[in-house]
Order: sequence, then C-alpha cells, then structure tokens
Amino acid sequence: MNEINFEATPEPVLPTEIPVVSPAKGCGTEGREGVKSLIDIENLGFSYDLGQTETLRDISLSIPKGQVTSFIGPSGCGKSTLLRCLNRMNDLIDTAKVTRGTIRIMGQDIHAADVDPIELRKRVGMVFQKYNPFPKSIFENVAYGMRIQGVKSQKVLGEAVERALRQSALWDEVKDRLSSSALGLSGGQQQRLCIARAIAVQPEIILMDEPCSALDPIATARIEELITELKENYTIVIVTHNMQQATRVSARTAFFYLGELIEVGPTTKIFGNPSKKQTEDYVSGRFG
Amino acid sequence: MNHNRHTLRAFDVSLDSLRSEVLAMGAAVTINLERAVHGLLKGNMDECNSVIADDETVDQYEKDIDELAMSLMMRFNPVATDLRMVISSMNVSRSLERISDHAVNIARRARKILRAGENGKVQMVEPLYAMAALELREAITAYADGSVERALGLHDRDAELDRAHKKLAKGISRLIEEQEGNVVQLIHLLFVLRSLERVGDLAVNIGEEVVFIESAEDIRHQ
Repeated sequence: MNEINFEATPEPVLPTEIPVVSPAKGCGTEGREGVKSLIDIENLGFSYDLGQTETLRDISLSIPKGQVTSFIGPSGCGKSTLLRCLNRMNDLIDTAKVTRGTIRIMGQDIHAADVDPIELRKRVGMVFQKYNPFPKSIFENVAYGMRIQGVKSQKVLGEAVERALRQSALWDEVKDRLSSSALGLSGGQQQRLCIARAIAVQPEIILMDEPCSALDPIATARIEELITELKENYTIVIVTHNMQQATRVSARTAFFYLGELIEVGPTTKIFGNPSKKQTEDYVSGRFG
Repeated sequence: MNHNRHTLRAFDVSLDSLRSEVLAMGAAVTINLERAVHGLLKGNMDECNSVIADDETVDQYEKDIDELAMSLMMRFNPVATDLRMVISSMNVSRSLERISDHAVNIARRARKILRAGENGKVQMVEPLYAMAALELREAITAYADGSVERALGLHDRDAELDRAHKKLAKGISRLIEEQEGNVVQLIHLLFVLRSLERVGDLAVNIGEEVVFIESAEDIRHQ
C-alpha cells in the first residue's frame, strides 16, 4: 500500500457551496428540476488492470444531497468498486484507473490535478464491511483524524469526540470508559465506533460498504436506526446485499449488473414496480 | 405475471398455493350464487338452505387465504409483482366473500318468497343473473390468466348489467305501486336484483385487482 501523507493541508480544495445541477445525462434519475445533486457521475469507466478490461462501464448517476442511496446487485457487479471510486480509495491499487468519464462532488471533478485525495477522504468518509477500529482507546480512535489534521486542544478534541459518539448512538455506552481499548467493544459497538471515527472529521458524505454484514440482527437494527438519524446531517451511499435493508433505509436505489448501471430510481419504484425486467428478476429473487 | 421461477422453490410453491386457493374460493362462490338463484327459480328450499350453510366454507377460504398471504410476506418479503399478487389476492378473496354473502342474501330472500307462495315474477331475475354470473366468471378467469384485457372488459359488461338492473327494478317498482301481485314478495325480489347488481360491482373490483397485479396501475374509483 502506498504511504499515506498525513500532513495537514491548509485549506480544503472542494467547494462548500452545492450547485443546483440537472441530473447527469442518461443516468435515469428521477427528480424534480433543480433537485440538489451532491455527487454526479458521468459516463464513468473503471479498470483494475490499466484499462485492459473494464470493471465499470458507462456509469451515469446522480446522488442527491441529504438522502440515503443504496447500491444493489449480485456479487461482482461493481457496486463496491464504484463506491470506492467516490473517495478515490481505488487509487491505492497501482493498476486501477478511471478509464473515462468524471465524478464530480459539489461540482468539482475529484480527479482534477489540484484535488488532494487525503482531503477528499476527509470530506467523503467510509465505513467498511468488517469493522476496523485502531488498536487504541475509544477516545483515540475517534480523535485520530483530528489529531493528524493538527488539532491539539484537548477541549476541542473532547467536544468533537463526544459529539461524534453521541451522533453514532454510542456515547451512553462508552462515556465512562473512553480510555479503554476499542477492541474490547462488541462487534456492533465497534462498527458504531468506526462510524463515529468517520463523522468526527465532519464529512459531507459517508460511504458504507455492507456495514451490517458482519453483525447480528440486533446490532444491524441499531446501525440501520443510526443511518436513519445520520441522514439528517450527511449524504449516505450504502452498498448492501440485504434488499430488505435497502427498502428500510434508502430513499433511492441503484441496481448494477456486470459493471453496468441497469436502473436507478426511488426505492419504492425499484422494489414496487421496476421498469427493467432484469431489476424485477433480481429484487424478487429470480436470479443472482 | 412474471413466469420466471424464484431461486427459492418454496416461494413459488407458496405463491402457487395462494393462487390456487383464490381460484378454489372463486369456484365455491360461483356455485353458491348459482344454487341460490336456482333455488329461487325452481322453488327449491333445500338448495337455499345449503347455500346458507355452505357460506361457512367460503368464510374459511377467506381466513386461509389471509393466513397464507401473511406467511408469504413474513417468510419471503415479496416485492414488485409478487407483492402486488399477494396483496391483491387478499383483496380478491375479500370481494369473493362478499359475493358469497350476496348469494346468502338471495337464498334468504328466496326462502321468504317461496314461503309466501308461487310467484311467476321470479323469472325476471334470470337474465340479470346470467349477466352477473358471466361477469363473475370473466373476473375469475382474468385473475387466473393474468389478463388485463379481460379485466378491463368488465367495466363495459357491468355498465350493461347496471342498465338492465335499473330497467328491471323500475318494472318491479311499478308493479308494487300498482299493487299487482304479492307486494311483499316483490319487495324481496327487488333486493335479489340489488344483490345481483352488487355481484357485478364486486366482479369489477376483482378485475381492478388483476390490472393492478399485472401493470401496477391502480384504476379503482375511475
């Protein structure tokens, strides 16, 4: 893995105003004229082998601000690959490259020369399938991102950690043991801690790659409840194999198959009356 | 109707069972209605009594279908066409149960008419029954086949039945006013005609559910 430069950068390079844009052409989004779109993906192609084969082909999709959008599809369809494109996590793979198209976040092309991927990943946080807290204390896990940005004040750190843990519905469970190891928490708690870690640096977007697949049903329900609360303040994109989860937490759903976007729209439409037969067959368990 | 099979075989088996139960209920209701009218036309009291007793079987069908549908939803979380199929099957069963209630009403009225003595006017019921029975048959067939065209055709058929009902009801009302024949019997006959008119309406409701299953379009109240 390439060494990541954790030196603080003076100013963010992403704009803070969100332009009102029309949905990307041909992406099949449904929305009112002037709906705020936070992420615009246009004709995106992606390869893991320097362009010899394309894992993603011609993806055009807009992700609205302040909503939860689900990516669904059978294994290997490219949904996690696309998710990782949104914060350039795939940059860490030497042979991976965007072969064509653009991804714009708040109107800014994230592959532009002046975009710092580290700064991007602060604004576009990520939670992974397998919870991965650092082998540090609960407090230090949440404070880590701010420390490497140069925040030194214990008061500021303390307030931010509390805020993040409260937002992640974990504060009451850990407030009396912030200095204890994060690895002593249960699986569900560790995943909520990872969410707290991501939101401590105040991102605009949270990417979640099957965040509940390693959790029991009760822990899953708590994470889903948390997602419902978090969407008030963050835009969330979630990859899930659990279609009932997609119907419970997301307002919009995008269905992928073999590297292509087949259909995207309101979750009620995708699961209620999808336009494409392939979508209907997948969501109703007729293939995949 | 999506003819592709589910990966989970049990899902298909359950959906097929649900459909079969609804069709069996449809057959039972059709027979009940036929026997109620037959009992009236032929003056057969026993037939009328059987219809009243057999309504219990139809009620049980409704409960079984509800139970089957709930089990399906709990186990398989149906979506899209499957979800519409399950919900609409419950609604169709509701309509069929109400048709059977009308058959019971007809049987009860028939008993009252028959006890009051012979009445040639009962034959007035026959053409309206023929239209209502045809509508019911078409509605059940539309559900079995998933035929939107057949389902939509029920609207025109029902309009015709409504016109026929209006004409017949007017005729009987005139007889009541002119005190021609046994007025009490004639009043019962009016209610029989009304029940047959309602059977037509309920057949249209079944057709609307078929359209919803196949196309996701809700054409109720149009």
